[in-house]
Amino acid sequence: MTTATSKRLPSPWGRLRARARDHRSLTILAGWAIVASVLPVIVMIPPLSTFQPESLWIDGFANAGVFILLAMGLNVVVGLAGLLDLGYAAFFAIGSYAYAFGASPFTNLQIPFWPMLLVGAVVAATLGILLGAPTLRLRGDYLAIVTLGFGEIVPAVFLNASAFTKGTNGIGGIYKPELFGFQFTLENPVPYYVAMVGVLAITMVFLYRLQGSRLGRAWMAIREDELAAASSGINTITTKLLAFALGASTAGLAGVFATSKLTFVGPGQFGFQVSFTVLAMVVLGGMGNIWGVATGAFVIYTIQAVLLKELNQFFAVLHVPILQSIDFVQYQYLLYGVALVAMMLLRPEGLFPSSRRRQELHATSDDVADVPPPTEALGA
Amino acid sequence: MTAAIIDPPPGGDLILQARKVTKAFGGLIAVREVDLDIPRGAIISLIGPNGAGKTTFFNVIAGILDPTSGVVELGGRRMVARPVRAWLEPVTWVLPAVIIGALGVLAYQASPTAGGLIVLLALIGLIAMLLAAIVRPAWYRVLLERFGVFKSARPNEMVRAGIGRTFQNIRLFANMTALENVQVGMHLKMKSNAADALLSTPRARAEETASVASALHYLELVGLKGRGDQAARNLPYGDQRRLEVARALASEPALVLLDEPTAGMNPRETREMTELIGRLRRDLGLSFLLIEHDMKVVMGISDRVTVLDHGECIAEGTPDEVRRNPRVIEAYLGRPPE
Ligand SMILES: Nc1ncnc2c1ncn2[C@@H]1O[C@H](COP(=O)(O)OP(=O)(O)OP(=O)(O)O)[C@@H](O)[C@H]1O
Ligand SMILES: [Mg+2]
Repeated sequence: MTTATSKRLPSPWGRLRARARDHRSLTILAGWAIVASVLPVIVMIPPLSTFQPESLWIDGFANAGVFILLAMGLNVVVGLAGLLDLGYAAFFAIGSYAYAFGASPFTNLQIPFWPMLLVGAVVAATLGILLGAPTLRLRGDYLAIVTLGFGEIVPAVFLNASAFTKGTNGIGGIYKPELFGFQFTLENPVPYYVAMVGVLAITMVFLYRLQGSRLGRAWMAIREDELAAASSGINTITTKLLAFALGASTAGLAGVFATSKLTFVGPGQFGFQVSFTVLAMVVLGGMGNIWGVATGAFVIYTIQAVLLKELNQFFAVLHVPILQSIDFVQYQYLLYGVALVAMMLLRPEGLFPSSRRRQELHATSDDVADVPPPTEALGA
Repeated sequence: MTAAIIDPPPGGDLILQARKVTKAFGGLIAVREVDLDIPRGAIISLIGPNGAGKTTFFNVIAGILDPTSGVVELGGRRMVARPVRAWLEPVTWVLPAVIIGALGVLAYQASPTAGGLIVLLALIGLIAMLLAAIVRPAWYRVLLERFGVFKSARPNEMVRAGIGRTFQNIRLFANMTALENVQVGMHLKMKSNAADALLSTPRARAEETASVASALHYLELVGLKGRGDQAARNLPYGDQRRLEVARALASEPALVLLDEPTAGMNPRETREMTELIGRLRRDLGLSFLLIEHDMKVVMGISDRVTVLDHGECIAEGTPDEVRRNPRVIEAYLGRPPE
């Protein structure tokens, strides 16, 4: 039943899809290679090329990559394991500060960027486990509240431990990456873009592998019914911790990358807006579907970073009096809110849902299994 | 089908032994001092009117509810009982770390490096405790016993100890396919970990392929051949019940707890389920504890029957003995008018 035994020859498209299914990792890498080479071409075509010069586009795409990473990581926690985490930015902060400590004049250390990616991921995962251990026994709403608290506490710690973090001033002059003697610079965003695509592609391969594994099934089982999962032999506590740790490690990666590009880190970068934005990306993109979440993050980031700015200029040029005076960038969270509400009403499964969630959210009453008739008989 | 009467040999091969199990929900005593022995390879039924406490007793045995008093032993090992000094557990975690951490903070005044190292040590201690609890639960349990702490086994530990179960109100993983549901049941039989999955090692891939084959086998066993690709939520009610049985069997249990496995089934489905239970006992030597309202099923396949009413065990014996017991008839039909 897993291998369809149809007599007629499958179409070339069907054969391609079957191939892609059998070689998923290669398909993902190829997909990223194609996307990464097409994007720079697309932004040279008129409507987009008039918005901003190509190097700014590429720079924006590299930044978008940070949010794609964050969204893919949060998707493990929220989309797969079903744990509502409202303080995800905490792990982004931890990864960022890890890189700042490892490679800045402030600590006098200069650990290279590439191993620091791993260090950032491991440190974030460890703290994810430490923060998760006492809280993951909580369910649903309570977990959401506690993670919200962590999301506030972690930046507050970085803010107040000023002996170690320079407090509000933040840590500056952080070293930029280097690859085989080639120094990344602020002027040229292309190396960041390429490196980011590499990190994204590899992360996505890993996440797809996890999702299809014994562990991924255990996460989904917990999301569907925690008690039944435990009664099937799943250690729900450690399995949830692993989801938390893996989600956190992805955020750690994102933090290291973002900091190496910005060359500065301060506690103000990790407020609730970050957690919220990433959660909105996951929900709008389509919880549980990795490509969907990545695309959702990309679209939302691009709209926010480019199109809203463009909208201001657009209306300034048109001389529409009311619209001219509105700063659309300021209304970005309002727009998120409206988009989320509209989405929940019209397409609750997100833009690119996994087939599972689409079924779940569009069940008609016919699909629901019949309620059994009562059977109470002492027919001895 | 007449039941073979299995008298448990004294102190013999009991797979499960429940002693004076009591469970109270506030003022309501749902189960009161119930004893139950399950010999290896036996089919034992638990019957009683609605609200008698059958499901509650099940949940105690499965490690879901802690009993108010009483003990459940598996193969002579105490698995479930009222927790003792449970409050000590977080203390054993936190107290050493707090003490060492405080020392570190004090030492920081004298020498920042030494202080920092000691605080790091406290953190490492905390992580080590966590790792012990995750990676070596057995060691961790022994460690806790040193402090006189007893915790009942959690549901997943009961599965590891060889108990599989189904639920009265079906609890499948509704949005996963039937095949995936059974694969989740195999969780403990599979060994590949997160690292295997990340690297897609040959071991992980071979295990995954084998698990699909094995899951298909269980689906066929319960009569769900060809339904593997369907989402569990889309299966008809009777098939959902069967899928729950398949998922429970997939953990390769020695004892299977079935909570009303034939509820909502038509006579033919009921007969098939009854035959399946008999066949599993005969072929695989599985033991069963069955909650059942359908007396034809109970009388047909049980070796012994335990009757609960208002939480109390009012009768225990062979199906024939129980059927004739006046207290049982009274519990079901009410006291005959004087
Ligand atoms: N979690 C709970 N909290 C409070 N009371 C409960 C709880 N679970 C069960 N009870 C009560 O305990 C009693 C026994 O319930 P239980 O579900 O064990 O009965 P049962 O024998 O399985 O009945 P049925 O044949 O209807 O399934 C009932 O009065 C029920 O209301
Ligand atoms: Mg019941």
